[in-house]
Amino acid sequence: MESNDENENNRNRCENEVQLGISLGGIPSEVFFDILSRLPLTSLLQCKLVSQLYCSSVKHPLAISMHLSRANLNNPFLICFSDYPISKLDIVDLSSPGNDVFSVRTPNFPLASIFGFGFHPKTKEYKAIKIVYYTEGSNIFTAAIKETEVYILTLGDSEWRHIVQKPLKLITCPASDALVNGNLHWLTMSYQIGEEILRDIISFDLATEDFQVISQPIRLGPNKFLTHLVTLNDCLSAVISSQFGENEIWVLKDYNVKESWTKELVIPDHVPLGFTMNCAPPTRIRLNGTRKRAFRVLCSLKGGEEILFSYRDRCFASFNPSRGEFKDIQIEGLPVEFETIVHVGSLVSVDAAFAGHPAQHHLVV
Amino acid sequence: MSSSSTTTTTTRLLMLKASDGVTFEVEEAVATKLGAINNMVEEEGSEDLICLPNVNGKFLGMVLEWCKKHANNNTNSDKGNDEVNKWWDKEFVMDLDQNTLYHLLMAADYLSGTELVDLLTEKVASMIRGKKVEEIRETFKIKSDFLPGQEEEIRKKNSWAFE
Repeated sequence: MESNDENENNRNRCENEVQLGISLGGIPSEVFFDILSRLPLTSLLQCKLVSQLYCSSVKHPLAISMHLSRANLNNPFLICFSDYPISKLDIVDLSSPGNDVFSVRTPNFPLASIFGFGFHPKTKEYKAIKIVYYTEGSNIFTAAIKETEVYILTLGDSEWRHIVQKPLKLITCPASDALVNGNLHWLTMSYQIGEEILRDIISFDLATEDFQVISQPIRLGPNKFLTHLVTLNDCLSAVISSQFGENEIWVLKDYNVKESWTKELVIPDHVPLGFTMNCAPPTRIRLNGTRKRAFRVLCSLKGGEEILFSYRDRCFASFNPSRGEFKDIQIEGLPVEFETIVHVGSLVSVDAAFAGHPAQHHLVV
Repeated sequence: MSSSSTTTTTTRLLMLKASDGVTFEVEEAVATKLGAINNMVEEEGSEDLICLPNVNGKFLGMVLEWCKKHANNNTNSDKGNDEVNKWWDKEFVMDLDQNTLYHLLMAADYLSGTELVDLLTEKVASMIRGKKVEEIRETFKIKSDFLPGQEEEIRKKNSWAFE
């Protein structure tokens, strides 16, 4: 631990000039923060080890907020979760030249609960939500639901709080895929009306803590299926796959106008080169992943030029809509199958969320 | 701030005087790409000689060269100007040694040349990006001043990134 004196010292230097190094001399600290704000998290972690001054600059509130405001210019991180043969997270840095992979072991998750985590821009709070279904029998798809409990953890509080609001329909995807306007979103279990199979979207407002039902974009007919949600260009988007090898991306242009669903683009089916067919991990061991999708849109890359997707939870490729081209992305060292979570790197600390329970792994500087 | 103060199109010349007495004659449209000079022109109005005691002739010259190139490229109302600017910017920062880079950055920051500061900070960032601690220290000739154990503690905290 640094002594208070040294902290004081560093802060003083930060406010005036930064001795970047002998050859670069002293530059105004704001300019140095500007430089740091352009770096991906992995580089900033290296910077923290350069010297005391670099270390305190990376932690400086101004550097943190400058970095956050630039966060969308860098490509995001992918967090790939797998629980076979061991539970681990692989963190892929898409902004590094070689798509660097970092591995973290995690404890096994025995629960099949629904999760969500997000930030509301108005209340400026991070909240995590956990929805637990108590069933008669262990299979959530067939068992009758006895009871539903909803818990919220606001960042900074030390305990989960129980709330009375409940989702209006049964949610089946394990984690929220899309955070838009401070609302988390999940898909409901599919249900049938006449010939048609329908699936609704459940939203949860992180500020008011209310659930809502959003109708699916179009009437689908028997051959199309709403497979998953994703956030694209800050808009809620739904991916509808057909049996004829096409995946439509529908975008809710104006979040508050439910009529604004628009078909934005169509991505044909594509099997990436890195796809390994012959080794199959037993899927029943995947405790926390029930998605098993052929095609899953993850995020846009290069500020919207390309769309990144995963194939059968085993490999990645990107699609450039203006050229109609696919590019396979090979990443060495990942397990055979994994769940992917898109993560925009930020210097904002979430340590407070683990008050009393020190976080085992710091994904945030 | 008057909203209709679009500067007259007749080219007015400004004299800029650097700390070492070197003077530059520059078109107003070029010099006002620098926020600091733009402010002085707006505040002092008719003043034609502007003294800049914090920047010497060599680096003021380089900053003005950059401004001139950008002003010229922008008046040619050709498409692809952005491409030309980008290409020229790349050439501009390509072979800068660290000493020049530092003084240019200081000059651009002092003169509030926002776009130029952007270009130069990005250049420095590119010298850090993807490098390991030792390589960053080597690049900028920095000696570690951590107390024994401190460095180890930071490494432990973010062990996933340092394996």
